[in-house]
Amino acid sequence: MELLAGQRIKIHPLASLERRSDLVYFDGPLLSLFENAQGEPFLFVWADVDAAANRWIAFRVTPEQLSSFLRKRITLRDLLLTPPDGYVFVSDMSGPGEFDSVWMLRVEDVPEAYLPAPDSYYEFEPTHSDVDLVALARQYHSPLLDLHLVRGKGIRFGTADVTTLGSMLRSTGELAESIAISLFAGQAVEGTTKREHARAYGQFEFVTQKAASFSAILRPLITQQNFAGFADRTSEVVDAMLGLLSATPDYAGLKEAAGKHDDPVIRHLEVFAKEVQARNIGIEVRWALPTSDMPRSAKIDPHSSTRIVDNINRLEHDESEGFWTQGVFLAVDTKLRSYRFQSAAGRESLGHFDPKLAYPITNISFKLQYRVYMNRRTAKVSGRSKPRIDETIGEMDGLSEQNL
Amino acid sequence: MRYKYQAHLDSIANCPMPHFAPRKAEAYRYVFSDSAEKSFLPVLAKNPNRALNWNDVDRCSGWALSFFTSAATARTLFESLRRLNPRIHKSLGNGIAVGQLSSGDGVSCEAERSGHFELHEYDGTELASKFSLLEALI
Repeated sequence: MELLAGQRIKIHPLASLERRSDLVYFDGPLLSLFENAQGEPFLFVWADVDAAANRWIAFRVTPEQLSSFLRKRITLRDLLLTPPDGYVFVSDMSGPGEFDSVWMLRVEDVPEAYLPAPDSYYEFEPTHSDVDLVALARQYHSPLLDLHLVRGKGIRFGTADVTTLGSMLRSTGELAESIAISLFAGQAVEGTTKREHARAYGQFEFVTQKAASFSAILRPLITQQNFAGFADRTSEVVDAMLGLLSATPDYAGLKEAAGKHDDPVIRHLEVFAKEVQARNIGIEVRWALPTSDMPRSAKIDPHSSTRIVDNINRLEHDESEGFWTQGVFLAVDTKLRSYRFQSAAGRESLGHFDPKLAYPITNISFKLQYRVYMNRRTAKVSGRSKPRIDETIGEMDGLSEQNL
Repeated sequence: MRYKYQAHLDSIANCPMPHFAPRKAEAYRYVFSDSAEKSFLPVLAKNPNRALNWNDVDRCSGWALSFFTSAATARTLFESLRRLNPRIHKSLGNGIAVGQLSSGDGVSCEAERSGHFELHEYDGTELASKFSLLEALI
């Protein structure tokens, strides 16, 4: 290996850095991104090897420099020659975490043989991206939810399109709140309504973001102290959410979930899945407590979100019915194609005419009886007490007076 | 069949992964022109190994050998790596060798779009005698 002109040091920050991602990887890392406790990025560039150790050059970069490099606007050589601190570390490592020898070097003392080429633009994709959520939860002294946008429209390493990020934060937040209401709305405390109180267990605030590809780190709005072995209510909400994302791509899983949760939960799950579809993104939702060994997680991508949406449509279709009935129209709005209809048995219903209805609705007479085919679709997909019923008239015949 | 590094694979969940299967293929690999012995060692069998952290997926992959489906894809990747790491030949090798992998050599995955694939060798497999140096990389 090359002789180094710098100063050998025993105290250095390298061992305390946490790996975020391997930016270049072939049979092991060749260029890796680390962060210090303040979230400042450091690069580890593999430089050399001999019989005893691999040699790495490590240095701090600014987030702007890192972003420019990943967008192929500057080279690795540019980064290495202009570190914001003016110096780099060179470390010989005999294994993971083994900083056998560390030198501090002025940039001009880095051996020419180790400098990347003048055209050392980034041509790879980050791999092994990792945010140590448990360590972060310990640092914040709070459970944390990681909305990890793995890929998709407007998602790059460390950056996310605002509409994609905004829509996913909103749909995740609304799903969590609806689950909390579904689970806990039966219990109230003084000064709040039952729904407000329950919703609080599913509310989160944005804490920070991590580059991995893009991780939005969220913290529960309220913290709960529990006896060991008892889950707090926000953990129950998150577990239910992870369960929904994992189980509902299967129809049986959706049916079971629909039996457990209120209708708004399934509606918000549908909105969440449609956002994933529309923006073609892959998401990993992770949850860690400061006391966890491992984060709990669930993944969803455009393929599984399509299955969730299809399953919700199928469930609604399975709960629809069609029948012939006879009666009179009490009101018809030809512009909105809506009606009020009273059956011969005296039941009144409101609904719309199917766009494919052949009968001209402008010819409807309030004095005549009609035989109509009514398609009743129950929009409720769970055990809600008052289901929403959508009725449409798909076929109809006017009955002559002799038939009355 | 036992794998060459069975004791190490036993300690890793789901390794080799289920999509690995015995396959026949023409294969290209980075090698050291002066050492056949050094040329067919998986990255974790090398000492020192080039690692900063290893999770289970990395560790499983670390006991497999890397190959390419063509010399051109191997050369292109090498040039890209060399622009960033000028001494990459000291870690990966300084040439490309070609050989025929048979289904008795081990289990491999389908090649990625880049042409790269991995092989977990069966116990007793000796690939050095099946490969010959095709071209120098530096």
